[in-house]
Amino acid sequence: MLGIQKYATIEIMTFGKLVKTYKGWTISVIVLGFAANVLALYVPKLAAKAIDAGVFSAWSPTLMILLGIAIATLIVAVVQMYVSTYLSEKVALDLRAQLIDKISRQSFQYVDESTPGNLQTVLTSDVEAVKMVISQGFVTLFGALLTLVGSAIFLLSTNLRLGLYVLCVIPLLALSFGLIFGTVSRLFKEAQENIQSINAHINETIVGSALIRVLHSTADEVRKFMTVNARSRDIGLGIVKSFAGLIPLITLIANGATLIIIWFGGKQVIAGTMTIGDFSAFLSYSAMFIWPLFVLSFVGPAISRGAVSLKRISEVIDVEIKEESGTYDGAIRGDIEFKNVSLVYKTAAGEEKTVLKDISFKINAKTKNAIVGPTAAGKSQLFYLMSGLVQPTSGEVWIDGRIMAEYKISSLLKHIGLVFQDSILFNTSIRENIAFSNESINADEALQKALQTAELTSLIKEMPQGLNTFVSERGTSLSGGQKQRLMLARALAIQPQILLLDDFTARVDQSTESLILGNVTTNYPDVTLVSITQKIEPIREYDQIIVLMEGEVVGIGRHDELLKDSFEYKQIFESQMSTETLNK
Amino acid sequence: MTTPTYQLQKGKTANASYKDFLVFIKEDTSKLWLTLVIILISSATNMVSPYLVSKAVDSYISVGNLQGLLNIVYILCGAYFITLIVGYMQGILVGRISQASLYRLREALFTKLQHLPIAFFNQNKSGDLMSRINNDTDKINQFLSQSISQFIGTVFTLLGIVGFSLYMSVKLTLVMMSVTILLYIITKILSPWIRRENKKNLEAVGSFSASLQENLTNFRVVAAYSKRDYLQNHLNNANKDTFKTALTSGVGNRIFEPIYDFGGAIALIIVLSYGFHLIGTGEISIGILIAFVAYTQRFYDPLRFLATIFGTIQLATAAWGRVHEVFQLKNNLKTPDDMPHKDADINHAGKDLRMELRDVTFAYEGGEPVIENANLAFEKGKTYALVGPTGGGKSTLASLMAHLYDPTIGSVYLNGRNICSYTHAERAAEISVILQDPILFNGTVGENITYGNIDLLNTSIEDLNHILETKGFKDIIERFESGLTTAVSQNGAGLSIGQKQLISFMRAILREPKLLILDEATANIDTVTEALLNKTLEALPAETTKIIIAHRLNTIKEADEIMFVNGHHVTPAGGYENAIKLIADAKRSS
Repeated sequence: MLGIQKYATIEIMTFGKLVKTYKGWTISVIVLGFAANVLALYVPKLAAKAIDAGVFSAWSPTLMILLGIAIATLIVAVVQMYVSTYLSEKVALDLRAQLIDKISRQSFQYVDESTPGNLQTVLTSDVEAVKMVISQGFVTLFGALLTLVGSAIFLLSTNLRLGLYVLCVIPLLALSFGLIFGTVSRLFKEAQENIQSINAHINETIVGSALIRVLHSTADEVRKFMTVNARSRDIGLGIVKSFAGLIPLITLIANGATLIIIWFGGKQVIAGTMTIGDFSAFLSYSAMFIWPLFVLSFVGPAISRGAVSLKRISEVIDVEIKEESGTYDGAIRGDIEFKNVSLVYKTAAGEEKTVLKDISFKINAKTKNAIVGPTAAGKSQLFYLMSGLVQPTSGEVWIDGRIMAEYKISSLLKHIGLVFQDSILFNTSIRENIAFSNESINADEALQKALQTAELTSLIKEMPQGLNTFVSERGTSLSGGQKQRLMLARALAIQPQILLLDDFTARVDQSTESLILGNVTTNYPDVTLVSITQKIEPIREYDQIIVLMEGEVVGIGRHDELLKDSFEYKQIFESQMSTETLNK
Repeated sequence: MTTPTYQLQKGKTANASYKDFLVFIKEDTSKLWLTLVIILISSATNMVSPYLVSKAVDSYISVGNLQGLLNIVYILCGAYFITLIVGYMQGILVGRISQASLYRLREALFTKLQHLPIAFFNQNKSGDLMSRINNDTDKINQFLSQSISQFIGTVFTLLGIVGFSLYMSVKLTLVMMSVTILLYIITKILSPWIRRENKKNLEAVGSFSASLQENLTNFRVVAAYSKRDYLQNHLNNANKDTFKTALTSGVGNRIFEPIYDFGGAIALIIVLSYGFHLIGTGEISIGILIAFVAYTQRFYDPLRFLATIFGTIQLATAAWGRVHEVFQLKNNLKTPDDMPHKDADINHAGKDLRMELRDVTFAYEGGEPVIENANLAFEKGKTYALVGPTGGGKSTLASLMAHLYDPTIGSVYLNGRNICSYTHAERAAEISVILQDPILFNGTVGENITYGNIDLLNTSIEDLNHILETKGFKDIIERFESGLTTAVSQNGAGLSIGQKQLISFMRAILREPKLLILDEATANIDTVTEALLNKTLEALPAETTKIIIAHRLNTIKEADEIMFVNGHHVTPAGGYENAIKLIADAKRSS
């Protein structure tokens, strides 16, 4: 008894909370469903009445009433069907909308850590499972419970002793439900998680499709997929095993109730303590009593899957968003200062990895700065810290003499143009990719200036629909250099005060590069430029160069100073000069 | 004059053949027969039990025969026990069949994807493909697991009832069933509409999934540029589309229930009406009419149940249509089977060349030519550099040389043989390409280095370390915090592009290719490390041909020949000085 009670309350409570918002709709669905059932019950009763009346005319008035009721039933049933479909779809719509709203307000760190694949599964597969409960399970369950209680009262009032005997089967039922749902909800959780693995794997083979074809590693990929696919099958079989037993078991228990009635009731009738009329009434009431149990075992799988999914959904919806603590949303000048900043990451294996160690430096507004250093020195992380996308583990980041915590990050970001190392493009027009939410009045002018600076004007002119040309998913229709210049234009279109370029020129040839950098100086004279780069040549005249190695600053200064003071810088410089001098 | 299209259709109702689906359940034929037998037994016991109960009441309880009652109770116990066993077996069998076929279906679909050319992935969205493999196959599975056994059971019950009623009155039976024809016609008329609405809904679900995929993986930009309203707008629109199509298709899937109910009521009225008439003519007794009223109800109850299954069928059919569409796609990339004339495969004039492009013109699907009439020869053991402004077609040339695409016009020869006459495995053994966008998989650094390398499949970490050391990669491996065992997450997230390029570089070198194509392979790697990598390139066997696409001038300095790629044309650039001049001029003109 406890088993089912405990389990049922948890589910009905959470689902109950969910449909509370749709009280009107839910009540309509239940009332209409009830009405349709009552009307449908009248049909055989009237048919019997027509026969009993003994007026055998093909056009008897009872038949006309019957026809009327049939039509009424049709109308009520159609309306009920529409309303209940609407209700379940509306719940799904609102759940998705809530999830979208929540995720869109989340921090980059949150989405990164919960992984896009996980969130994707919650928004699709989990919402789908909850919808199934609302459309099929919930209303049916409600009706079934009503019938159960009603018929139990009938049984007890007809013959208390026999009624009690029959109700004895309830603890047995509770036990079987409890046992099966206990194991199965764990399986449903695993199943949902495995969908994530399948999605992740498919996604990898799509992103990596070119490499897979170059290396002809198709067989490897199929083998890897078979592992997650087999896991999905095995979990599925586990669920099948649990539920395959449920319905026959419920049937057995229900049949047990029939046996109790026949044997004990039969004995009572034979002993003369019960009338044969009561006995047959008992049999039909017990049928009424058993029917909802079957319904429960049919909707059980959907409900227990839905409960798992609802929990996964609420984990995303109920997570608290760290409200932006900072309030400052004014303009900025562009001074940046790092004070003893360290950054420690947790790797996938759970180990701690120090990315930046005790970094301190100062960047003055409107100056040109470069960050050089070998691969994986932590250069890109500096940019995430400067823009407030990532918080330091210790130490402080200051902008314009104001600590980062005082800034409203979303407004701060309006002044920072961050060009990522990799090209991130959306499957939409070029215009929207560059300036998707620029609300400023002179947006078009800003856009043109950005395009011209990034040397994109002629490329866009050549495009079939100019700025309205669509970029394919993952930007596969553009070359690497074109994509990188689009990323720059996106950063410039917001007319930033601080421009952060992460290895921006890696895919752009040297002449285009110097052209673009010249454009930036001319068109955005007041910008504070920080550029992560591998090439020394363009930064020789920069105001400040920071040399970063294995997460530590090993040199700060101008080109000439560093050549004298920094061995590491000199080494980088010489690796490039050796060929350059040869050439000259 | 372009590459073929692999775009999956939208809005079109595909006529997916049901026959093609049978492949996925063929292996379970014996299980299906067993299920059929079990359903028969189950239906039989289900019919016997009510009879026994009524016998207990009529023959024993009412006459006070306690012993007889006890016997019936025993028999019922046995029958119930059989029901338990048979019911359990049925559940297990049907579950096994549906899980096994879902497994096979997904496997076949995934394998199919792996055998489609790269053009397919450029033309379709990953989110939608994921939805097809996961969501659509699941809809088919739902039909298999929930509906098939119920369907069969219901059909048995229907047949039994029709048999009984025919025995009692043929005329009344025909009248009773007349409504069925009407229901059949309505079902026939509505089905295509419902299937179409279901397809629309599955498409909307696919688009929503694609939109999600894009916005979640690009969340960095969404956060950095405060494009949260963009994400919201896009996803909310996709969400609304999903809602609208789901509402229509949901109503469609359930419309049969009230209609069949109504049909049952109408049938009852007709039976009564005609029955009254027959009683009037004295043809039948009241008893028979009473029995028929009961039969009509018992006939239309299971029929109503079938109606609920019809919805699942329409949904499964639409889902199968979307899955089938992928199966129907043909890989148009030429294979050795397409090259029947062995003589024509051989390029006698250039049989000593490593690679040759002859009169090659190429255009992407529906686009202008990217490469026009290119004639290029690459000798064994030499190093070539391809230079030119971005978007000039350099990466496209690399893709053509790796046979990721067929040229629209002209031929590509590898070792003097048409590249199409090589199997994918043969070609992959000859050519290594370091792609512009480095690609990493979930696993370790070591696994990513040996990825797709049959020779190194079962090499231990120690041996692999040793091999890398002899190639001069010791320093580089040490840069990863746990060396070869450093974990790499999905798509290499968390690693910098430079690090990814290092891994891709080692991956390509370890394959010891005859032709190595480097497409901006070291663009994000610092110059000190790059010098180290260049040494490993020089250590490659003398007959290795290297084709380098790069912007850094020092990278192309060592090349034996430089080719200039711009405005769809490839021209020899002459010496290094001239090449630099060409690049500078090209910039000014564009």
